Amino acid sequence: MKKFSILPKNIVKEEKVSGYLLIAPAVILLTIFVIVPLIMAIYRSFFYFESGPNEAIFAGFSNYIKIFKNQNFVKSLLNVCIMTLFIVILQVIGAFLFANILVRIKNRFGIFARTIIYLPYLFSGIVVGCIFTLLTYYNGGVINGILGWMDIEPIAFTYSKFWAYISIIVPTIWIGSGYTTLIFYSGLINIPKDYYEASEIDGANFWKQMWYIVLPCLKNYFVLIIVTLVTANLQMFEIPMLMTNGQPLNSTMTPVLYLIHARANGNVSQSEIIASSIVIMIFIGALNAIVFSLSNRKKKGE
Amino acid sequence: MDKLDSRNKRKTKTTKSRVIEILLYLIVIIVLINIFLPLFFTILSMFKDKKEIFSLDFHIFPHQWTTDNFARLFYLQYTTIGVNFFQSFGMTLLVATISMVLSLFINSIAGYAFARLNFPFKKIIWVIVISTMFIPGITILLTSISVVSSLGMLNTILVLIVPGLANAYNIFFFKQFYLGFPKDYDEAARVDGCNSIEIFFKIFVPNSLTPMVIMGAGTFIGYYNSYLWPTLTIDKAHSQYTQIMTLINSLFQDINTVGYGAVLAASFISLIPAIVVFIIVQRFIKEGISLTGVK
Amino acid sequence: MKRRKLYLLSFCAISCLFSCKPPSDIIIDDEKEFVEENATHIKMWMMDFEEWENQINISQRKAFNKIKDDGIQLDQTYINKNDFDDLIRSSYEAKNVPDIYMVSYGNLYKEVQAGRAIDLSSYLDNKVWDDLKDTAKEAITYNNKYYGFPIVMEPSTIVAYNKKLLKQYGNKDNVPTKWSDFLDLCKNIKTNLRKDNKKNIYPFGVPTGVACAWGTWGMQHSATGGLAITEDWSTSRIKEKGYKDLANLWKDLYSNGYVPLSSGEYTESVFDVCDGKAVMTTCGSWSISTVLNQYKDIKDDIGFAIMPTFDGNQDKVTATNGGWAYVISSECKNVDKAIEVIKFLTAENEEQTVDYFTRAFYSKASPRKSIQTILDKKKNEQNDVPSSWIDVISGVSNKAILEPIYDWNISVAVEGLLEEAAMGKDIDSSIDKCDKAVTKIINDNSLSGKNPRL
Repeated sequence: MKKFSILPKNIVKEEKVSGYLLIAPAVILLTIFVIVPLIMAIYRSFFYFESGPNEAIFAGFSNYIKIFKNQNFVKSLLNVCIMTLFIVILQVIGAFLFANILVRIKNRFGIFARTIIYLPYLFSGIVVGCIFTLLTYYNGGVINGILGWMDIEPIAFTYSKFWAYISIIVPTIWIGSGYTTLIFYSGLINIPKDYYEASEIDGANFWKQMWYIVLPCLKNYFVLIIVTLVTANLQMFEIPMLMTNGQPLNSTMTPVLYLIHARANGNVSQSEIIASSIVIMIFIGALNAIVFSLSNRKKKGE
Repeated sequence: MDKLDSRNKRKTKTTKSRVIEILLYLIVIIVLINIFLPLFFTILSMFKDKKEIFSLDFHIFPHQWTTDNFARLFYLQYTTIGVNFFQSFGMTLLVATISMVLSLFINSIAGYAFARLNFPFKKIIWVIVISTMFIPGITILLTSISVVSSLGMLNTILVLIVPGLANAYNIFFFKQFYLGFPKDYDEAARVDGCNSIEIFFKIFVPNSLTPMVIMGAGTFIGYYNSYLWPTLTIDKAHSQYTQIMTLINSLFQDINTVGYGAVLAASFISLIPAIVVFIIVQRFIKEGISLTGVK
Repeated sequence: MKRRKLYLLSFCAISCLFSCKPPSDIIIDDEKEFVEENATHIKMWMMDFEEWENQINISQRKAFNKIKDDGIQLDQTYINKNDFDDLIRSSYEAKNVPDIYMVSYGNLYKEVQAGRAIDLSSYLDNKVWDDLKDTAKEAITYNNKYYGFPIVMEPSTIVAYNKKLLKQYGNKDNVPTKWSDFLDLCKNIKTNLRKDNKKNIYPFGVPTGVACAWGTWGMQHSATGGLAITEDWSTSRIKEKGYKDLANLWKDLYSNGYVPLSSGEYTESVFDVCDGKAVMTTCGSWSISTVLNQYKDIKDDIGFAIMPTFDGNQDKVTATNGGWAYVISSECKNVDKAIEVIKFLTAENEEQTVDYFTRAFYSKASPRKSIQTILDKKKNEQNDVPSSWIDVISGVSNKAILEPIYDWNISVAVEGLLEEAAMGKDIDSSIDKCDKAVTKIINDNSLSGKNPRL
């Protein structure tokens, strides 16, 4: 009986009901745990809550002005930009080249290699930090131990700015580059073979193929990867926390780590912390917008 | 003459390409070694004695192999860290598994609805849902804690599971996948008299193994590896809910008491689920990447 | 076949791991704690110190819970020192506050200002309060009220040295009293170490990171006769000559490789001396108990000395007295019961308190005069702790000042100065920068004239 009762008109109604029913759990959860906190955060960033959470005093933009006067926070933004720049450049170029190598190795070894490189992507920053500390420990770590055999002065990873950056950038790339390589790899094998054949007839060499076929075909892959990497790395804190904890002289402090420290020390007010976290959001959004607009402009130029 | 020349050319080309091939293999091998090297040192060092790890005369292999560091983890609840390592490990796995199942359910039905059903305000709701993807976790961290605390969820297992269940990225992924399903499928089912929900469970679910595995693995690992949220929402008095990453970090902070070897041993044990997930997922990963919406 | 072998192998590995015995330094205490029925639960948050110290606190708790019919059941939670302040604050926000918790003397003022610690004056007899040493009393007194009960006093800067290594590489038996002599000694040791090709051993160790902010208070005082700001909190003292000397000292130590460029936590620096990674190191008095707990067999090789000073005079302040006090939270509903706990643990019970200090190997001074007399007597009757160590501790402790309670960021600014000096930056400009930062903190928080201890 029921089977005959569903008519086209009822389908529209039925889709309406079950549509709302099916999206309801996700939408409710997103509202409670993302949208409401976001609105609360924006609201709180414009108020002082000095005398307890119930007495809010309107503060205007003064919380925002305060954080931009806060040298440590501004410095942490700068630090994370430098680190992200290096990580993104090294990881994208490295992964792209390595994907090109993997495409050329078609036997079992190649399959093994491109399976295994993805593994560190599943490891958490905390564990990777613990593991890499074993390598970078000053008095007795693996790297300095091996340098000691060769009679070379030990490297102090938390004393010099350069090595501190290295000790954060290397583990971060170690975690992420395999996955990036795989994305490039799947892009490379999706390029139709005719493109190559056609260009070979035209007499294009390897580099020309690279420039006129591979890069344009993978443009969207590049944009996606850069955007994801920028977004993720601007928020990094686990590896810096374990590797250097902001040393030396706060030059490896990242904004998120700074906020966690500030929250724990209690010397920065809650509303300021929230205001700075909103600044981080705007900052990430702005950087992503720049990447998108750059990639679009290039399209127009072509 | 001409023939000979071309043969010579081919010969040089093959030797040249062979050199290149060997070079490529070499690069791949070096990269693979670099991936395994930290793990290699971890595995060796976790069998070293507490004082041997950072000792003055560095050596790669332990002088005396010992399982002391693992024993330390077994008896962790008797130290003032007061957390049973394996209870914490199990709890983390439990939380991650429950969350994975619930999250797959919630996000796949939402993705299906956005992909295949028509209802008013769909576009607006979709834009709102997708825009939550661009909100960094840190921005809503403190206010989310206020929210869960006013819901009375602090220090319960709920606070670990519920807030991360719905995820715009997962919904997007499922939507993308279900958009690619042929239309005839559900039309045939409609003729049979199924409603949308039945269609989803009868036709879509059995055919969506790949996104389920990929998204399930992603969610599982995401929950398993999360550090900041469990640390801030579960306090010391509720040590039965302590998540593994929080525990490893507190071991790391207490390094001289427990010894660095115990930290490495804990780290290594905590990697095992990730490796298992890796083994399950690796067959699907290629297909999964082509689904991520890069076009 | 292959797979079966794999299973077998992994089974063997797992069963091998499960059968392992506990390491010797983990004490499995299966003694059931006495649980009183219908008793009021008093929740207590303790600082997570080293294992041996926590064990003392745990046994004290067990002793307390053994007392029947007092209607109190004591629950303790041990919390990492890095998270302590944060967790206390958020516990007030979540209305889930412990009844009693530990606060360092430096942080007590913050708790009082926020109204989180209650005034204990009327809850304990005047006799008890009069028994406190003056410095201890000063540490907990604000507006003539007592806001906590002091547990210990420990000087935070002394020198530990490895006698064997000092003799072998420095050809000396004692640590010099003057920094200039000390640097000469370091140079001597360094050249001898080079000759022996011992690159991993360092002549000295200084506090780094956050510890550089609080571990150097004593050095700052001995160099300048005061701390970073004046007594009335009105002006910065960074321009004093002593700070330049101190920065230069840091520069010398680092640029000549006398100290490792990077080191572990200051509170555990004595490990390096015991392991033979450092000849001498700066450390706190708690290191004595660390040595006696973990390196008992080499205790004769370890010596302790007072920090050197710039003029060689060690009769002045060379350290700050750190320590902890129990406070009762403003949210506590059973203050009468909570005070009973404090009485038992430290305020009135003589046996427990004496036991605490003896088990800590006399590395801490008691804030109570009566206990200190007993301890002084007992010291001479025991052989566990070398008397020279105790003399150093009590000598330093008696002259030491209290930890400052001004804004923590001021100490962080000084830490920045020393770290910049260590990295070889220009000292004059670093001092200018630090001075500006400190003055800014004073002005921003209008600290001038607000010192509650004046």
